[in-house]
Amino acid sequence: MSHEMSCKELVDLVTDYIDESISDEERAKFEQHLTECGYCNAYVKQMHLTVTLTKKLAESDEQKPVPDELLNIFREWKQEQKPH
Amino acid sequence: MDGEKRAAAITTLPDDELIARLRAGDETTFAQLVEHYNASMVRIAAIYVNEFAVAEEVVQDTWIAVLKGLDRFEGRSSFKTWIFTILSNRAKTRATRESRYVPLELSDEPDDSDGAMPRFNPANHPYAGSWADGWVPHMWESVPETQLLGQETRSIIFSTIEALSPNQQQVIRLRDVDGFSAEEVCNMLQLSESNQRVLLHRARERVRQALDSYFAQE
Repeated sequence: MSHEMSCKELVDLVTDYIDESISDEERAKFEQHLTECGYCNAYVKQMHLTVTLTKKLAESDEQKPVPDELLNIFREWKQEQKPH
Repeated sequence: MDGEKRAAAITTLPDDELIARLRAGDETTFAQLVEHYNASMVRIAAIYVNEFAVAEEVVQDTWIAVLKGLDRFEGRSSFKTWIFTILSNRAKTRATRESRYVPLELSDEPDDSDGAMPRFNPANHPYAGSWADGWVPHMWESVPETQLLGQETRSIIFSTIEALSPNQQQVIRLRDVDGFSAEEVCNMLQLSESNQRVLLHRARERVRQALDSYFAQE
C-alpha cells in the first residue's frame, strides 16, 4: 500500500517539483497532498514566488556603465586579431 | 535606445551570431555583453575570492580569456555557460592561490538541525509529519504588490543570500539570479545533481523563511 505524502515529505520534494524532475508517482502524491493541505499549498506558492522575486529583483539590479578597461581590452584584442 | 533594452536584446541573439559579431570586432556587441553579464560575474567571483577588487580583476581576466578563446568555443554548451565556466575556474584558481578556496563539499554544509529547514511534528504526535507550531507558512496573497516588489523585499533577499554558505550562494545565484538550468550549474561547479538540488533547496528555503517573517509582520 502506498502511503500518503506528509507535509515534511512534500517540503523535501519541492525543489524537484519546481524543477519538474519528480517521478510521475511522486508528482501524483504531491498534488494530491496539495488539494488537501492549505499549509502546503501556501508553502508551494511561497516557494514559487520566492524564486520569481529573486529573479525579478535581481534584474532591477545596478546596470553599471561598461568599464573603460574592458573596452580597452577589447580594442587591444581586436588589434592583435588583425592580420600583420 | 537605452542601455537596458540594448543589453536585453543581446541575450536573444543566437550564439553563432553573437560570436560572429565579436570575431568581426564589433565593439557594441562586446559592450552589450559586458553590460549584461558583468555585474553578475563580479558577484559570482566575489563568493570565491572575498574581496570585491580581486573579484573585478578575475572578471577582467575572464573577459580576456573569452576573447582569446573565441576560436576554441565549440558550442557544446551555451556561450553564456561557457563564459561562466571560465569565470568559475579562474575564480577558484585565484582563491586557491590565496589559500581561500574551499572546494564544494556537501559534508561541510550545515545540516538541517541548524534551523535552515522548517520543523514538523515528531512521529509520536497525532499529526506526525505535519507543520509544527510556529513554522506554518503564511498566505502571501494579501501582501500588496508594491511591498512584494519593494526595495525592502529586495534587500532582505540579497542580505539572506549573502549570509548563506558559499556553496549555497553560488548555486542560488546561478540558478535563480542568473537563470542557469540545473544541468548547467552541475557542469559549471562539477556538482552531482543531488548535491546541486540540496544546496538550492536549503538556499531557497532560507530566503523563503526570511520573506515569510517579513511579510507576516505587516
